[in-house]
Amino acid sequence: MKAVRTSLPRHDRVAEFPEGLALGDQACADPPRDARRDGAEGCQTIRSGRWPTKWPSSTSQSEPEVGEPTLQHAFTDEPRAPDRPGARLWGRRSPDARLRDLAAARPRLPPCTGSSRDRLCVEFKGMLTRPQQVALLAPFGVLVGLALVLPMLLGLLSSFTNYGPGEIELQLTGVQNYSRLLADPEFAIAARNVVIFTAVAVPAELAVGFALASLLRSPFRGRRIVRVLFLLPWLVSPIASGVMWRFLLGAPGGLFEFALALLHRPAQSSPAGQPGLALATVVAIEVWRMAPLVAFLLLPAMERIPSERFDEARLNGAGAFMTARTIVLPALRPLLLTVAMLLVGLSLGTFDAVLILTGGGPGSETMTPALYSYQQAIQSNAWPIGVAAAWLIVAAVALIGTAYVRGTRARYTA
Amino acid sequence: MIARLGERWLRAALLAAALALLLVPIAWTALASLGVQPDTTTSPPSWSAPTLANFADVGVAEPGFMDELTTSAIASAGATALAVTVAFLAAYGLARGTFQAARFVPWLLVLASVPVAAYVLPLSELARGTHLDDSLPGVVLAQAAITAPLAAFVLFGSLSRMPTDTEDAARIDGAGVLGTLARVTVPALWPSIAATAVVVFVLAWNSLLVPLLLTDGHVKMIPVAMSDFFTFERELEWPTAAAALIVSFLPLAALVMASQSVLDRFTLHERSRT
Repeated sequence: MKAVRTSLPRHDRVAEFPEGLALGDQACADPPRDARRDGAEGCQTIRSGRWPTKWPSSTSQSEPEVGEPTLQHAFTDEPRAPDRPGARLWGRRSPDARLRDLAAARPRLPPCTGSSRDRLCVEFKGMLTRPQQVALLAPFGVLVGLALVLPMLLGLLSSFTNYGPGEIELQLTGVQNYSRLLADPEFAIAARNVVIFTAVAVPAELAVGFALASLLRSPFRGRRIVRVLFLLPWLVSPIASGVMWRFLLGAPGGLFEFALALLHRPAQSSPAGQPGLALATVVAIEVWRMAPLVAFLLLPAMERIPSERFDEARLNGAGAFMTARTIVLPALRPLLLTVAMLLVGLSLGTFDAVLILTGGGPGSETMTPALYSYQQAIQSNAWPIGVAAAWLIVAAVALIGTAYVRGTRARYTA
Repeated sequence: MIARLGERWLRAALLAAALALLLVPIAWTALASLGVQPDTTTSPPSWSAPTLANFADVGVAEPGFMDELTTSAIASAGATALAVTVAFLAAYGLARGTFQAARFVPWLLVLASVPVAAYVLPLSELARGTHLDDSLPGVVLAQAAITAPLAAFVLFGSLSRMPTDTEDAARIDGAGVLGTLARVTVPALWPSIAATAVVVFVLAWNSLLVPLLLTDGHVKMIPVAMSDFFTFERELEWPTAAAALIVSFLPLAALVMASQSVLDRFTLHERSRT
């Protein structure tokens, strides 16, 4: 028990709640004559963990009334003003202390029972009851569970067996598929290729997409149409893009041959077929196809940044690069993370982009795990190996996905 | 002022360069499909005259091409309708529920990020086991399941950004969940739903692996036909292939052009923080 004495003037100064005050302490509205005595003039014991809301008048000696925490004042930020004008100077506490008070005084809402007569849940929260929620989620759960999650699980299970379409006798083979897979030098090359592919293509797609979106950010005449035109490369499917670039780069009358002729350089074979250049070509084509999509995804978020922030940056003398780094990037970081997750997943599964363009060649220079898996399962009649290779892609995406979810969790719980 | 003017010109130049880089390959293909090709043996290169014969050749080289286009359109439209409906209901359940589901939403994106190649082999076995292989319903179901997580993620974002006052009012006035959905939520979110549907349609139309492994001759779709252009048996002439490319590309381009006003509602932002 300790008494707190205040020597605050009666008006115009905002006082902080005295630190170290606890339940049972004496608090006084005015400088008390004798603060040590409970019920001394203008003093009372703090009983409710909240700042007292009613004060005994300094003339009467009546029992002090302490306001019980009610719903109403549990949801107001400020304690109610005490009756005595001088006492209100006390009424401020640090925000943390106020939050603690609120948490302590908040009435516990009963959990939603799911009954349609559960008025609290329906009327005050406007929310769905648990059975309604389950019913809404069920079709999605059935569809995605059966056609997406179940195949992944079956893939995992069957990768430990010799299961294949023509296999009569099902046997457990343990990790044999995986050990054979990891011993295959071609798979090692494929894994290395896809790591290089992802590490180069994803940052390049994000950077080019970011630059394209920045070009489109502020309005100009014809922006709408430019924006849709920008999206066209993404509409070319990966397989069509493979067909297209195979000719643009390698056929007579193709773009590559024309450009070389224009520059008076001798004709060359397609860079997609040249050792050392093939992977770079595939990456470049993927960036050509995906960067516009990144721009399309980033642009709405970029437009939501208030234009005053750009004016401010300009007034402070920031150039385009500085503005992008200090204003746009921080605002777009969560979105960039999400887009990066999608792009990484796509890159790890690169299949149709190389199927026709290079077929994995020259040699194995553009072989990817997805193509390897397909070739093993369909063409080489080694279904279990193909499934195991594919499952390693799931594992890689799951690993990166876990990191992604960790990275976003802060946002959801904040 | 002069600096600003210079900046505008610089931006215009950069935009023009970007547009050229992005579009020249497509334009080149379009020209080749019309028979306009350069002859680099002469100097300066000369151009051949335009013709529509290549489009007629597509029908000769790939007799079923028009059927494949129709199949692709039906399957993609069906998958889009199913995926968007199912994803919208799920997103609504997640966004308006009492149970704190927001934590699971990032996992939808992870699910959407898993490449098809990673599970298509067991999926094709599953389809064979349930006799859904090489049938339109099988392809539709598979495509819908593959695109639904992304659609649910996007629609959850739209739903959680939308103010719920009108919905609450409808609920208090006695509308049920489905009534509120049909009369309040869907009309208010229509642009977002349309944008999601367009993106899902493009993804379904362009997907190769699902029809490649789930169908076998009976149901044939455009991407599979394209992968067949170049096999050991035959290699299509470039102008004919270009014509086929352009024919399969035009529906998507038309769709995107027509829906350009709603497309910017497709955003991966889960919540608006500003």
